[in-house]
Amino acid sequence: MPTSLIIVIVVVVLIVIWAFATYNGFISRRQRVDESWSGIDVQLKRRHDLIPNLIETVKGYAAHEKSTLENVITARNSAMSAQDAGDPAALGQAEGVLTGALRQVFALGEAYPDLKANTNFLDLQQQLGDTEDKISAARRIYNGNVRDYNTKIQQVPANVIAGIGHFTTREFFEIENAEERAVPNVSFS
Amino acid sequence: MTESTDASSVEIADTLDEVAIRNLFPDAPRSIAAPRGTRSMFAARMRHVGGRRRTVGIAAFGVLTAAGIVLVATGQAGPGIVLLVVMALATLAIALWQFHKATTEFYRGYAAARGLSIEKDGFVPGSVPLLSRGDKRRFANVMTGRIAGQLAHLAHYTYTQTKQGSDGSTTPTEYDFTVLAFTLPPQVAARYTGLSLAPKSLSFGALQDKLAKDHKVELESVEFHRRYSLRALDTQDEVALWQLFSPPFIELLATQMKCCWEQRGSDLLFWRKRHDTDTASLDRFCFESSHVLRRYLEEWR
Repeated sequence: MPTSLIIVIVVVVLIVIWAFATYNGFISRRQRVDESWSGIDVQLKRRHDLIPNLIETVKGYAAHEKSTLENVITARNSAMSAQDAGDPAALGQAEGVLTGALRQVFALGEAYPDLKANTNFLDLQQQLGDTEDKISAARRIYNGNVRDYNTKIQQVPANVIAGIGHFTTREFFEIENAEERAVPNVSFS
Repeated sequence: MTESTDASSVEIADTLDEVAIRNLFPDAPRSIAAPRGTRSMFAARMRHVGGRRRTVGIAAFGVLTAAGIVLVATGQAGPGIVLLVVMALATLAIALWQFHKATTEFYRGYAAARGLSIEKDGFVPGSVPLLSRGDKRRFANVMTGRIAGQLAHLAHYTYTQTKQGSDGSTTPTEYDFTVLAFTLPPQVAARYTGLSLAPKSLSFGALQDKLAKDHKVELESVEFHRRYSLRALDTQDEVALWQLFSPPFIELLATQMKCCWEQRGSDLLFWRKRHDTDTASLDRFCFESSHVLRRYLEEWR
């Protein structure tokens, strides 16, 4: 067998091995992204499940704050719909609105001392705070995995395998907080 | 030195003031100043030998002794020189003994000034990998007491690794560490099965991950990963780990501290790859470690 043919065969075998390894790398990275997304999903579901209890508790003390409570219910419903759709951008926006609405509910504790002293309210506040911490950590894990996956997809020459295998970039998950972005309205009256 | 309640948002100064030392060592006596001559082991040794001038004298005497030994060995020495060599060897033995006494005095002085008790033949308990490395292991100057409100063991640790050459010869190499061990409450230990933070070094990638049953964790800070390598056991809850390494805590580790530790269940062991032999270094080591400990406890509370 001529030497040049051996060289060609060796090069082809090496390319095939590299292609398989790269393809498998994409699969495991995509798996990690999906797993970390499900981690966020679990925490968001827990947060959504806690809200009805919170509404019931607050209703007993602050029945006049109907609009605040309705805002939370609306925001929760939007967030749940966005979660079902699995769109990180829409979900991030909806969760941001929900966070803002929840803050308003917790602020009611200042106006209603009996509510502030209610153990159920305090417990729910603590549980929701804990869940938010976990969502934040899960979001950082997910974004880290997405960054790693997207970088690999866009790198040359791995992008060739990504194109063949239909691996596409994923969106980052950012919770947008409208309150933090809004210009504060200062009134001196 | 300013101390904040949040362990991850603190400014760390180069030297510790009295308030910081008192917060760190709650059982410290009224006077926290280490006794004169025990601020560093070098100072303690100098004091025992008898001052700088006498030390220079001993050194000169040592040179003459070496010359005498050479003369005796080559058979060119008379009885006067033999006597001189015997005297010199006796002086050397006394100086070594004084050095040993000075070392003991230094650690006794430091322990007393920090409200710790020094244990003869003490050891540091724990199941972290560092404490089972090498062929032989030994502890020295083990100090026990409350540090940052928790029971702790501060000690010098050395493990010996013996390498066998192709010709059958063995070469022992000693690795020195200063270690500080804490026991985490069971609730904290349940959240963190095991992780280790070490200076960035070569890694054998996937093969190492498989053998050690742990994996490398990539946080979002480039600066952090320029300094450290973070590894977690495969059984470690990832969300809890990322909660522990909050962005301010990562920032603190990346910019203001050089802190390394290993943790397995309730055993938390901080280490430095040298024997710290002065008060300031020991204090700073305890101070930096206490911030990490507080971070663990904060996450639990």
